[in-house]
Amino acid sequence: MNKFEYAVIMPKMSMTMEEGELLSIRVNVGDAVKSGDILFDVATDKIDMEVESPADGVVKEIVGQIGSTMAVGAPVLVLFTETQVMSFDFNTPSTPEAAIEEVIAPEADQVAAPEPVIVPVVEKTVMAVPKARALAEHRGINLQDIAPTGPYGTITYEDVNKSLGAAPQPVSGLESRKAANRKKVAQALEMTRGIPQITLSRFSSHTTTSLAQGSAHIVSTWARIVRKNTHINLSTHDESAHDFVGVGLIMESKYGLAIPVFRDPDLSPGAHLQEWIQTTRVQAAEGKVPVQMLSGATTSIFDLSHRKIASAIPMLLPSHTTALSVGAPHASFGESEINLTVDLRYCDALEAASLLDQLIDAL
Amino acid sequence: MSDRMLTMSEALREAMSIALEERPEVFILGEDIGIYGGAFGVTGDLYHRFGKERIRDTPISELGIVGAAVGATLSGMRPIVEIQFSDFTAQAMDQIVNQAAKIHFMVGGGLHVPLVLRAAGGSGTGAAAQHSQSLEGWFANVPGLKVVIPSSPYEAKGLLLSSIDDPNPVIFIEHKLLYKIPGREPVPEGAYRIPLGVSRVLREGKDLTVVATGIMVSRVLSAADELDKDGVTLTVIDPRTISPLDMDPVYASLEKTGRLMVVQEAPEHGGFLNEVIAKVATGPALGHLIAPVARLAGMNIPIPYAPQLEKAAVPQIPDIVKAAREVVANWR
Repeated sequence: MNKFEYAVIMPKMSMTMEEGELLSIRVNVGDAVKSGDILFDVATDKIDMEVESPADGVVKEIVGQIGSTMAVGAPVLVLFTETQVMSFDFNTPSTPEAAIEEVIAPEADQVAAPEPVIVPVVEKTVMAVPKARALAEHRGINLQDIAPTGPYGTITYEDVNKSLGAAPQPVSGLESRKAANRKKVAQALEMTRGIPQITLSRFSSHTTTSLAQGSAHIVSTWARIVRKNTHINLSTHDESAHDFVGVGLIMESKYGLAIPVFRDPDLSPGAHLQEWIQTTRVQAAEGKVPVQMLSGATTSIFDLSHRKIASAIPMLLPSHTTALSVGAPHASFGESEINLTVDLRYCDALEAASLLDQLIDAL
Repeated sequence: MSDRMLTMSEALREAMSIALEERPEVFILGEDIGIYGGAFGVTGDLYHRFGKERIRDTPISELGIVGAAVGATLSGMRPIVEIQFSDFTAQAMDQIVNQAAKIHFMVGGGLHVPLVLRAAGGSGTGAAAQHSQSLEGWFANVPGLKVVIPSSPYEAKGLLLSSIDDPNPVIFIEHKLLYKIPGREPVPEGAYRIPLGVSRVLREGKDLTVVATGIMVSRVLSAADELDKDGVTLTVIDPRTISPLDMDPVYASLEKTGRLMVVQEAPEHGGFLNEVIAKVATGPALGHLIAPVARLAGMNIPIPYAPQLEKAAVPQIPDIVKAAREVVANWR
């Protein structure tokens, strides 16, 4: 039985996307679809994308017109699904529920149309003694979350009082800062998701020298490469060339990830850079990265050589044209994997390969 | 400070004696109150001390007695009526309800009815269904009457003197079983007055507030002593007058205990203590409740004659202990 109706909408594929063109629809009304089947194709000025079915079901209705430009959140087609589909498109402006209402306005000739299943939020009557009620309200506890122990299934005063101890502890300042930080990083990456990019990877045997110097060796070597290749050291805003190199080095901080920016690290003497990075690591751990180091990066490095991680696909951050990651040396053959991601708008795949070669040769 | 321990009969007699001495307009009338000294010996030797003009034996006619007393109040007297058994007030109901309670209001406040009607109430004496009722609820439902229920000799003396002073008709219900037992506290010599409409907190505990009147007050106090051993402590409140009713100490106590139990001998259905519950349910203390109100009252039956059944028909000390224990254990 397909019990639920779900409107598949014009997805929001980047932070700035407000509308998209419906390129094609690959299904017909009545088609059975599986979760993951492609339903339609969407184009924006940055990217084309195939939109998949979120669940098993049957195509009930097609709303979108091929070739038309539709707002983000507008329903493209409606599915009958067996399971309820949770929407986690957090930036969708209009709710899917509202969309469903629009498209399934009852029609006289819809004979066998299954009743849309509405799952109401049932306010079950909660039995509680007056003082328990008052306490719950005072402490902001939902009585529905409390298991009653009193006669007739009634929540006693003690039940509420005890639940205060068991209730999830209020999020500490640190935890909430971590969460906020995480969200910020995620949002930043979300913004670059639509950027055309490629990641190349190559093994490198640089490790012994590099490990001894912390990240200093890789930071200064990469900064030198970037400085030489002006086409990847420019502003993504107006494509003007930078007269500096800013390397964001991903570090651990009290509040989660920190990305302090080392400006022109290749111009600092090796020992000085090594000390600079070390000092910054300590500052980051305490959550005290100097303010002047919080902006101005044109590239980033995620150095995992001191962890047991073999590799990570580097992701572009906003206004970065390149991103680098360095994995830990392989246990048996000693080489480690270096990954380079480039923004294809400024650097094609072969140029990227050449950059990676230049780096590893320099190391 | 006196440490005299009197029975309630003695305390009441003392109060009447003081009133008879203080005010020439006070006199007593009722059946067998003169030479015989009263059905329960309350008037005792007053006949010999104050004479037949002031201690008046009457024919067996409750309607006549109360009617005569109401008439006397209108000519400036302060009669104290004794009705042998409160059950017999049924005979005098027209005079009590339609005359005594109303006259003041029917003549625009121009007249007062300073009548005290003492009546013996309650079960426990093997006097069966027509001589064992607790009818205070009837009177509490009549505006214009005050209703007083003393729970001990000390209370009885002070409350009776205030009732005699009061310009309104007062129904003063004395539990038969209290007449002969010594009180729990000394009765001072001389005149003292306990104001009508002021509840008394007899003991304070943390777990349960109990409101009780008359004989039930001593039963609740005994139960409280027993519960103390389990660490369950009771606050016991005696309203003393059920009309007017002073609820403030009850509200204040519920703030601490969160639990209320009411105990009365009268049948549960329509009983007066339901008014206490209603006031809590509709008043400022509802939010303090952590338990439903427990109600312990007489069965909804005429009081049986068989002694075991008579006892079983109304709350006894073990019943109170059990009910209190349950409400405290079930609702935390």
